[in-house]
Amino acid sequence: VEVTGYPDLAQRYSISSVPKTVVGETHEFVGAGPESMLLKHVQDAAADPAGGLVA
Amino acid sequence: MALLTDEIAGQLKEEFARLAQPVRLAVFSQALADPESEQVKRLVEELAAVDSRITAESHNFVLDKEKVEALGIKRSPAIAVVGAEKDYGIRMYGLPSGYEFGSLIDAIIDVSTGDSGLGEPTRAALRDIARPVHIQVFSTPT
Repeated sequence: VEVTGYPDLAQRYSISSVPKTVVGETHEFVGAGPESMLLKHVQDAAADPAGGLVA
Repeated sequence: MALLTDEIAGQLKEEFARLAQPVRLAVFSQALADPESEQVKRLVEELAAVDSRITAESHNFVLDKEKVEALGIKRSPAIAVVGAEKDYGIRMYGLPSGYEFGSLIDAIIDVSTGDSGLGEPTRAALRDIARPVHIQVFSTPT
């Protein structure tokens, strides 16, 4: 998502630094990380009844 | 004037030698609302011209409701990167320029080959996840 065209998303996900990755609604990190870190966020989001899936 | 220079198109031709299955690039735009819509459409058409396994299609985000619904498009402009046999759910919103252009090319190759490039331990862990998980990566133009 190139966020400059979607200020509502920038606000909703508090995008101040990029790249920012948001998994589900609430699991997030800024910058690049190892594959294991992304996996951890995906597992956490999948296990979180509130923070999992949204479209 | 072309968005892809001859030099870039030549490099892409080499990269796309790795393609396996056909890939559809479906653009959703609304020219009046998005200044970038026209560029997104042209970029995708130029990519399709580089390799016959890539096809470009263009839809109106407001009028083509059925297609918007079918591919789960939320915003405009959007590019859905869809494999011949499988839709992995990859969507790019906005104009993929700079670094994100590379992300689009990578997405095309991943979808075509059906290979995410993830390591086996990660794949094994992902097989245990029983529900869909939405991943969004936000960027700004580089």
